[in-house]
Amino acid sequence: MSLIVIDSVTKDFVAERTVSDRLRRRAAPALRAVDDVSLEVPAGQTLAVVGESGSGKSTLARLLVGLETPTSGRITVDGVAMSGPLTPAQRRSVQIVSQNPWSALNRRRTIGQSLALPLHAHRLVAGRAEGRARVTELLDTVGLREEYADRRPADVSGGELQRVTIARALAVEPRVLVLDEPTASLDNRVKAVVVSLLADLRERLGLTYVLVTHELDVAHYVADRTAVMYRGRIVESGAAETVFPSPRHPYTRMLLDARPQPDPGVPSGPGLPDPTPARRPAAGPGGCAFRGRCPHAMAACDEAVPPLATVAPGHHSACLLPAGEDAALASRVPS
Amino acid sequence: MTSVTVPDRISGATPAWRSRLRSWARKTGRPAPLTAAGIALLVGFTVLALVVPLFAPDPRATTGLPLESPSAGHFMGTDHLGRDLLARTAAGARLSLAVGFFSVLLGLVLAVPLGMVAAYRAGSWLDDAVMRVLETVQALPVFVFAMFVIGLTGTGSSSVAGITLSMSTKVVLLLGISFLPYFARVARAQTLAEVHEDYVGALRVLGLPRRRVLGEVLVNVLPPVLAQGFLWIAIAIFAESALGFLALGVQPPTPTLGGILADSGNYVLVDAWWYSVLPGLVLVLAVTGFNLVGDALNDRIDRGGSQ
Amino acid sequence: MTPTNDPGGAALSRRALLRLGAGASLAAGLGFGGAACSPAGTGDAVPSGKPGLGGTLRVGLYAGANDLNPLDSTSELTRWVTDPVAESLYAYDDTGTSVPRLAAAEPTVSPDGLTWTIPLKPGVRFHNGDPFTAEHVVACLNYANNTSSPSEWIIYFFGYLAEASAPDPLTVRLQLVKRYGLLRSHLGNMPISHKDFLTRKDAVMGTGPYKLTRVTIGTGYVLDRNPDYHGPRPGPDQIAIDVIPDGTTRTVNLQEGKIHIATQVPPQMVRVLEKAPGLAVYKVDAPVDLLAYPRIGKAPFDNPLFRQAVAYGMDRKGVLDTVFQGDATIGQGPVGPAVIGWDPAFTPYPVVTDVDRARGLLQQSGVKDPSFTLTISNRAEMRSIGQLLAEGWKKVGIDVNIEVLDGGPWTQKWITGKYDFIMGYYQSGLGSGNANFLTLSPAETTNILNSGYTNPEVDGLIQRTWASADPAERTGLIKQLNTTLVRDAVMIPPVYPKTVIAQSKRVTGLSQGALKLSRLDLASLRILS
Repeated sequence: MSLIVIDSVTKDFVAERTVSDRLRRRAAPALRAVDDVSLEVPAGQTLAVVGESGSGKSTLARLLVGLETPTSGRITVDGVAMSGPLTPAQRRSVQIVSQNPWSALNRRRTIGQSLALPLHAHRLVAGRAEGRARVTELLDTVGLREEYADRRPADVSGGELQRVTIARALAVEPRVLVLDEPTASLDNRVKAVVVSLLADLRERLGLTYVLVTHELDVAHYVADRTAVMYRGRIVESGAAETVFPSPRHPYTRMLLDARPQPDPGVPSGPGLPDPTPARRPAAGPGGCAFRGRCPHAMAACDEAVPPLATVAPGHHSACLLPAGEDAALASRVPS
Repeated sequence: MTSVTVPDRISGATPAWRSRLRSWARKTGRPAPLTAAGIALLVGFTVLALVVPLFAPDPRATTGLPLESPSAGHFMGTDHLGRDLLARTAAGARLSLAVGFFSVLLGLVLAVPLGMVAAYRAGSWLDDAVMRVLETVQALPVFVFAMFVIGLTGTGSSSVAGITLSMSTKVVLLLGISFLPYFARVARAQTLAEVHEDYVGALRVLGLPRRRVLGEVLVNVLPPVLAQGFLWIAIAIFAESALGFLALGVQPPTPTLGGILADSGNYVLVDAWWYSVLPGLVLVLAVTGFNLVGDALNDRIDRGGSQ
Repeated sequence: MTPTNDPGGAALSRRALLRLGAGASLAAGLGFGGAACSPAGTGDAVPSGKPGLGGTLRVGLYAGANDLNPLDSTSELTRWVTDPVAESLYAYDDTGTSVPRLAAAEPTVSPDGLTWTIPLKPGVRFHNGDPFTAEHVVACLNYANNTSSPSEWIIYFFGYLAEASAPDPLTVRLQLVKRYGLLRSHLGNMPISHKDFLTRKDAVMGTGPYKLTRVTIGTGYVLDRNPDYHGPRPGPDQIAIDVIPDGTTRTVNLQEGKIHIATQVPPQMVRVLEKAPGLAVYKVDAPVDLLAYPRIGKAPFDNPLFRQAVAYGMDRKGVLDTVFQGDATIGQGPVGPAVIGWDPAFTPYPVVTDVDRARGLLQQSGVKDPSFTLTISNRAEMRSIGQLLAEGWKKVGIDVNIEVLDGGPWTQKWITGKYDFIMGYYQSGLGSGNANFLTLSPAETTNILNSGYTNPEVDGLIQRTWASADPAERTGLIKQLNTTLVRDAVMIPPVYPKTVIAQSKRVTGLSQGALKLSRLDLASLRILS
């Protein structure tokens, strides 16, 4: 059984009811950030959730760590629902590393204080001396020297700081790390260091990762499995080694085409350009959410939301385009 | 395993406080001329308030003739009852400083937790309730509020629940409570900005109890709130003087800057210029000093926060 | 005419001056000679011109009255505005003698002294044209004698006046409960207004030389001359009374010629104004009291020795010199220099604080940790007096807190008796004339303002004083009363202040005869043209 099970999870954000809403006795408009998502991640594996900004992937990350509660559906980690009351040990088992390390650390605390805080809160160390030793050990784990403990976030570079946030997440000895755009704010050289550190840590500590990113090359490098999200829905999922070379959904293909030529094996480049707004008005309800941008949109796309269909063993895509034509398309698109 | 290189910034162990001091000095540099002037004014006012009373004659006792001009015997001359004006001004300054400091402290101690809890539960009924109550307090101007309360309780000491409150304590309470909404607003706004930082979420995910998370937020909310509080000391000093001027503050013969100014107004036309000008100058310079330094503190914190 | 620099106070009357032709130079030569010789200070130059009828007289008053009904309040703030509007049955002439005004003659008193009959002057009309009749006088007396009305006059009549009636339109009959010789004094002080205005607080209508035509609350009043006045034609066509609360501002306005008369000149401004050639300052002994009541009903003032210690320890000279710049009289008891029964030779309490005597008395009294709160009204002079006295008492070993209260709360404390020692500034002359009624009556056990002092001998003396119709007998009784009250330290004012009024020489001099009775005789002033 998989360690992480995401079962038909939907998350709506409800705006505050305005006076006019109250007068007309109607509910405030809701924004559906995550729409009926189901995924599983086996222990020790890495799932990469890719998509543009606003695709709902960051909300999925927050749902995974319990910072948000699903509107419907449930998320379990090792059989424990993340939205329910958690024991400290269950709480510790899933940790998050977010995009902006400057925001993720308290700017008025030293790195040592930030690392020691969870250790003492969970009584993982006894006394100051042991805490100090463990902080040194954590810094060493992420490749930072002991002196960093006395520095403040403002005096440390972004890559080093992101390593500190990873160290802090590791302080409570989690089984799962949710990595929410962990490298998006770093430059390429530093990005490479952080990505290889993450890969290394997974091996050494037997961690399970959910990597949320818009950088497909990072996803390709780290992930065992990948899921592509568009407007809150999974449009394609499968093993990383099949999805990346032979995408089935037009959106996945668009993402892959948008990225600059990668050096084989080493992730680089800025990845997909940031927010890509819909070029045509958002498609109305009832059809494929992507049809407004899709070069192959047809009448059937307006009829119903295409279901996630198995296109190959372990490979799913939510597109009505026949497999053959899809392949033909792939050859026409310059790569 | 990928090798990770670490830039070698600091070699050898430096005590934390020294590196902190050094980085503070580096960031601070020399103060701007206006700030330096403000600091000088504050030092002068503090010396007047805290040191001069140790050497000056009894501010209530008649130690000279009425309305003596400034001389070696009386550096600031005497008042209409022959009392040493320097001693009276210094005693008034001490009272003003104490009232200013403690009223702001009281306001902060009450307002910061309120504002933070309201912000942490932003949009909830608790936030609504706290903010509505504070708006009500704020709707009453400080003086209307003060006159109302002093009208009810008199200008002497009052007994509340078996505790005797002296008039100066009452002024501190009055001012502190009337400052509460302003401080709570600043604390709430700062907290609102702060809770959207990722570290708050990260600490919740790490399983820290809510009060520990709020404690971490507090260290970031406090500096700008304290800088605001510093500015409000000037307002408190001014308000205390205004209450004294209207005979609603601490009662004579205890000298207050406002009381001295109220009395001196009757002697402007009899050539006793020192009587109104010198204590008036002390008040104006003190308020200016607190404003200049408070502004500088605010600027510094704004810059610090944007890093 | 007795301006400040003529300390004799010997009376050249206002009319005598007018008879002399009263050119300004002459006036200066006679009355203000000293001032004319002094170097030019601030203020306008000595004006020249002839006093004439007409024009607008401007007066600066230190506060606005809350109640413009002269039958409610005996405060100068009310009366100085309403006196030209509402007249009394009897009025004071220039010598201070009470003579018939609205009455046609002196009252006829029955042999038992209980029935007073007063004939009224015929042909007098109110400002609205209504004839002045006994009906209005009876309405005023009944209002004043009604315990449920807000009238301050209740204390003057209650327990004495049984009934007022009007046997015919020009006769008023008063039926008394007991003999009340002092009633004649009250009839000369209580104004008579139109009966329809008795419940008004914002307006007044009477038979006087001026009509109240405009009231701007908190700012001022305008009075216009009554063309149908039954007496001699008053001088100015209009009287504008401006409320100018700050004493310094008031005197500056006078110096700048914006007002002709400034009331309540602050003591420290007297010297400045006296140097100005165009101004005259009057410092007149009048029934002005620094009410000074220890609360005798409770500790520590229930101890007579403690009261005496406080009385001996009072820094009278400090108050006289520092606060009043010498322009006051050292205080002893309730009877001051402007009222009957005053004896300047009776000075049991020393001018300079007798610290040793006070300490000795304090020790004898056995009061431990002596301390009390001194409640004073919120005036600059009172704040200074309070602080000086507290400092003096500290030297004796008595710890004094000062509480400063505005008019309303101060009066509330006085009436409810919730004070240790209360002090305030009060002009009693507008209600009591020089009879000292208001000042002495709180010594009587049953008086509402009694401070807890009970002395059957004093009660008897007071009863006899008020009953007596003979001024000489009354004077003697008041002297006796004063001796006892001073000995018991029941009322211990530090000084008797003077009424200080300054005027521009662009108007003819104020009547000092009137000022001695706290009256401001504005109608008889003439503006120089």
